[in-house]
Amino acid sequence: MIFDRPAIIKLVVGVALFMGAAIAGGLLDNYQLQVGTSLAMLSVLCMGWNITGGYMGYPMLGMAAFFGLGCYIDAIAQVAGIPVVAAWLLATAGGALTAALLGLALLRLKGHYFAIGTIAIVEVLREVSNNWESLTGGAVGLNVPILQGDPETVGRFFYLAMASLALLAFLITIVIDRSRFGFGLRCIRQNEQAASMVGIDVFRYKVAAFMLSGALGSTAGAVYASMVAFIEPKDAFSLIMTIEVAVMTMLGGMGTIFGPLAGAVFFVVLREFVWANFINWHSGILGLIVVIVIYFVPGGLFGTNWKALFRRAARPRASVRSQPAL
Amino acid sequence: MLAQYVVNGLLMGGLYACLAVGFALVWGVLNIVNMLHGSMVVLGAYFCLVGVQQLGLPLYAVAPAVCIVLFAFGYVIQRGLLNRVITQPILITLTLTFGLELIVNNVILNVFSATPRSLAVNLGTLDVWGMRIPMVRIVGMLVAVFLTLLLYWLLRHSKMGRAIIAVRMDRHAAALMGIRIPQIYALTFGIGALMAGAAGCAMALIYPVTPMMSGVFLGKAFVICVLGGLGSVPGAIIGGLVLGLVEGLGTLTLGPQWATSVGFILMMAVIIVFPSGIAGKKGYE
Amino acid sequence: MLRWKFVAAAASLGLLTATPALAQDVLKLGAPLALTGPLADAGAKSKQGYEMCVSAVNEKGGVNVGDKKYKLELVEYDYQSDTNRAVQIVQRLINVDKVPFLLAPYGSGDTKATAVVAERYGVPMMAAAAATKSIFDQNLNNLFGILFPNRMITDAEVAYYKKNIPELKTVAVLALNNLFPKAIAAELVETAKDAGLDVVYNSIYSPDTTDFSNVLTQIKALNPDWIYVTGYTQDLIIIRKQMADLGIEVKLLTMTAGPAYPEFKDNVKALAENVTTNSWWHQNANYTDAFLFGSSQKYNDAFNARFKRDATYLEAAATVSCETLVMAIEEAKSLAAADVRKVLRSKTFDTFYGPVRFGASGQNDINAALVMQIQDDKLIVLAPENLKQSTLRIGVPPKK
Repeated sequence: MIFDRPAIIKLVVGVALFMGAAIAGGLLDNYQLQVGTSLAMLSVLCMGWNITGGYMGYPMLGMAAFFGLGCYIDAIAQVAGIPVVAAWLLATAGGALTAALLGLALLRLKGHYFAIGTIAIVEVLREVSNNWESLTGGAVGLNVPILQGDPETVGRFFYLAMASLALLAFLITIVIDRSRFGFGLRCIRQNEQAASMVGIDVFRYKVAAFMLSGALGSTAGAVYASMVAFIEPKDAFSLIMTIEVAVMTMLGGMGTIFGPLAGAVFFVVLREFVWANFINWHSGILGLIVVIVIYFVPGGLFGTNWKALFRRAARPRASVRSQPAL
Repeated sequence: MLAQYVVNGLLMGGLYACLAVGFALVWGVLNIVNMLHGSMVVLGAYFCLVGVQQLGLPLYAVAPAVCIVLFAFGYVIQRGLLNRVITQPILITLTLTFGLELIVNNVILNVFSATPRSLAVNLGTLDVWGMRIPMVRIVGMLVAVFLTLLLYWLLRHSKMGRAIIAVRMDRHAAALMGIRIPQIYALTFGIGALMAGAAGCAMALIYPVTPMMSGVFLGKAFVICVLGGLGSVPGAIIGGLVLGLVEGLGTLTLGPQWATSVGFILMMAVIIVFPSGIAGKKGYE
Repeated sequence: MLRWKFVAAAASLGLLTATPALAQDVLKLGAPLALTGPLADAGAKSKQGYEMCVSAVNEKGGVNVGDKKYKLELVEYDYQSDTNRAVQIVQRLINVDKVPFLLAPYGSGDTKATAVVAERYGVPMMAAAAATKSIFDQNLNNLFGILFPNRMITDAEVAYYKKNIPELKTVAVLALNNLFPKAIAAELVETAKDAGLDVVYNSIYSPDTTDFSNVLTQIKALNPDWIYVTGYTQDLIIIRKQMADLGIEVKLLTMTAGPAYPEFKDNVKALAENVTTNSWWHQNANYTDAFLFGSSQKYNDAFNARFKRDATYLEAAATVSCETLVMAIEEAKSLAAADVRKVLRSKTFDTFYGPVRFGASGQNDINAALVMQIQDDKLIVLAPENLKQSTLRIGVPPKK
């Protein structure tokens, strides 16, 4: 693992952030805790996506599948009497295992086909949960046993749980970014055939990355399910969410360490602000922002070379737009 | 009566084909997953509704006008916005069209409201061999199939159509041959939008329209394109018919609960086992 | 750069959550509404119902709490038909906007999820759009449901139809796979079986089904006397049209709850004739109301004047959920949750919507179920006896 100065700085900054967030958890009120937990959860999902979609460059649109899977494994486990944290670990294992199995089928595909395949998984899982009533409760949803305790304590518990998960995801991301594994993923993203010729065990790496994404996704789902105490197929396996996760990470900068975090923060802040003020137009405004960002800064916040961009924009004639769109 | 089920399936299939063909064309030629497609269908449906119900114009005048409006809409979007990102990886274009979809859907919701509306047209039913076939559905299916076949013919035999195919086959070579790529792209997207609008008009005849239908239509278009072959126009026709039949027979054998699920399960199976679909060639990756 | 972003984020979060100083004379009601997404239509209607109550109360001078008068105000957010967002918004309403009372989101599923949160914080919540008993089975102290249980409706229906169609023997049931439609269909199956009817078909269809021709072909082959269908309005529109396409003729066709809304008739036109339905309320039910509006008819007239159409049970229930809350507050002479809860549980409220009494589970337990039918393009009441406007017409489509 290359652990040079930039890496150490990033690590320290990241850990400090999380420590700060954890301490702040003692001061925030319940609603802010909720928002913070939501933010942490989205960060986990984004960082999970980043591994397969960002570093490896495989356009995965299946985070909702793992998220929902984690929700249901946790819910079913808790209903069966398994204690909370154990249920979460069960969901993690379930997510990783499912990712391995799905990976065997899907990772042969590339580009469009892979994307469609992952979307298909989300849809199929949702339909199956809708109909397999004896296991999942069907379309009416499943009640998860509510954690006892007053709202503040319970809120703080879930906040810390989600934040710790986010910290774990962050550490995993740093390790991947700086290690041989991450290097291999980046090679795969650039040119898969060349990567395998250079000696990288492409198949193993792909499955490993997919499993990591799956495990993170399902753990986030498990914590979420325990928190809201009621899940339904259409919310657990939401296609909108799976696309939003990818978009968030792209806005922040995919394939970077802080990109997913930045994207998640941006999204949550934006949503809070827009919710409160533009009740009838919030999805349109969100869409507009997505279009603007993607159009002008497709690399996202941390993925764009800002200096080069400003230099190019400042140049009088030879700009990107004068080139034919080939 | 098996025949009735088969007929039901085929009637739906024709409509489905019209729904998906615009989507397939844009995907195949432009390599863009057009998340905006469902909303364009709904937009076409609403324009038809407004034209017939509020302006009082006859349907055969409104429908072509709607198609032209949507063509212009698609053309402008492609020329103005999408042309720039067309060489970027799939995620970028998908996200861009996703953002556009959010905007368009929000506008539709605020302008037309969420209350269901439809053109209640009753053209009678055809009673043949013990089966009952509503004329409206036959008309819908015939229009859909006619437009799709017309498109197919145009692609093969008109200069513009062949330019589109040339661009699909090899973009750079086509440019070298003097084809103006940005215009072809814009044209293709416009055609895709036009087909979506036509499908919307057909849908308005049969279904109550709400802004929420855009998600349903997009989902169907996805499944159909996968079944038929990504990016292939004849594939869309075949895929549409197959989906119609599969949903119908699924209802019969597994019960209506599973009717929509079988489509997605089949889609997943096809993409894993033979990704190029029934009729498509291995398209862009 | 990252630090800047974090600071900016923290600052904006701080800005957002700074609560404005509560004006002393405003009483806020938290209202999560589905203004976008699949429930947008119902959400918009609920909003109209609430607005009727708020403006009527404020026109009267406001809410009397002891000797102080409070202006009534709705605090609204759009939860986009997404249950998670509904839960988040309720959290926000309680913690940030600090509303003392809540109006539940639309539909049994979302009411269920948000009721848990309201219970945790001890904030009373009025539910205008949830009728399924399982929601009220959780022993919640803070949930008050306006709509009486589904079973009362199916009891009234089965009893009425058996009496008026002696040869009624077989029934086919088709339900949408969603909390309320599925629940009421299940209740009907039980009620029908108890009454000695033969349930020849009982199946569920998934949301977003666009084509029912195959299901209906199956049902047609069984030739039932009675077809009972549940679902959202757009599903029922499609089903009714496809039934006509397939030439299905039955003695009795009941659809829940689409025909209660004007858009059902608008979309199927002549096919709506003789379709029966049920409802929790209709403007012709001549209830009197001394607190607001005067009577059901007068409420409907006021609604019509403002929104240019007749009110259905959906808007009326929304209005009365707010109204009973205000009545309870005035009687308790206090805004404290415990006091208001006590009054809500102890009193029967006589409103334009009918008598409302929140039973032990929190749900209204007075059976005012209406059996209705569309006759000559109008929705009229068939039962109960004291409200009936006409008798049942058998045969869908009507015999020539």
